[in-house]
Amino acid sequence: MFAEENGLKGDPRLQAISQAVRVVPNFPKQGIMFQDITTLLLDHKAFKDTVDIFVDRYRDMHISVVAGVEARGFLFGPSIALGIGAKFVPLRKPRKLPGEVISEKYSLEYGNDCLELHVGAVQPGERAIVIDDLVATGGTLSAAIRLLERSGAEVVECACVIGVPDVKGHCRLIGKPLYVLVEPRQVDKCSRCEVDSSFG
Amino acid sequence: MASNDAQDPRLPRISSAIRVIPDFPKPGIMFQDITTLLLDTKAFKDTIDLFVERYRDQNISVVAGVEARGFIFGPPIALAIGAKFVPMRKPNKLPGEVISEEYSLEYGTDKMEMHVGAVQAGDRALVIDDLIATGGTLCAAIKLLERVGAQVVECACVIELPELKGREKLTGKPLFVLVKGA
Repeated sequence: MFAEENGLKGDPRLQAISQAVRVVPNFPKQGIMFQDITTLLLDHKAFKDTVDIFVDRYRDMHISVVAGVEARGFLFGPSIALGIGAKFVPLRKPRKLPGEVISEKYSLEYGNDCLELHVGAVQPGERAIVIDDLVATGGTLSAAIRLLERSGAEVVECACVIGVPDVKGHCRLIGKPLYVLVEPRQVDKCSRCEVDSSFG
Repeated sequence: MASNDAQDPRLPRISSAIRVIPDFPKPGIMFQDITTLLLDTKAFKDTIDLFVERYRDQNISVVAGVEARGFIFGPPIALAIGAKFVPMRKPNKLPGEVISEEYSLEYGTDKMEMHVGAVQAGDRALVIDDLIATGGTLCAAIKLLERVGAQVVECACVIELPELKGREKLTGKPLFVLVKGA
């Protein structure tokens, strides 16, 4: 569900967050309008508002684990974890985590990828949220949910800064509630940009 | 080191929250695993607080964090001190126009990239990573920032491996660390 439909209707912070994201056409390949959150990280107020919106939502939900998907989930997850008093658990690409891990494969457009979680990082019964910058097909988030559930945690919600509006489809795919701040933009109305696809 | 006089009382818990994993990624290496620090909410908060206390009054406008573990510590520091966060990434990850800096690995080289326009001339910058070993990565980050005219005020890491003398590779920039590992 979108933040605007869930208590934040008309919240001016959401518009500023949306406009702080830069759209980079044809990256990583033709036809993809890449939603670049690095410009959001350059806007201190918008970045802080992003974190605050998630912290306000989750602080009273007894969440003990914030799991962030490598690498852009690492940009948002730890600040949220610190804000709500939860552990931060990185979900990583293969062979990055040094200790014993559990792995979950997931499909890409072409081929597969894999996410890993350290054994022992998450205890049975813990309430967890999963954070990433953006949800597209939901494949990565689904793998993240499976890893946490295999550790015995209860995944309360998945949270992303950006998500496509096909919310019903995503909820079905992931099987868990999805909370998203803004939709992807198609044209570059990035507030930090003067020239298309560059910082000007 | 954190604290000039007596050791800051938060440091022992931070140090013991770091897990050492022998022979990763290869035999002979004692890997300093900070993921266990992230599971200790007090120790993680104290880690961030120690950096924030040091930098909040130094007019830092940029916190540059090195992919990927620098992404865990850098943003909370940037948010607390009112600075921009700039990710320094492996090749082909950043979608916009980038500048690149090559650096040496034990075998071969790697490249680090930063978005054009993210940092302005005159920005006062910190470079953050979880650990400094040989200093090659931090050195590349310093060079990228200086190429666009930023002033690198300091490099900051949770852990230093002093035997590898990375401190000497930082082109004269100061290094601040919380704990030293063997």
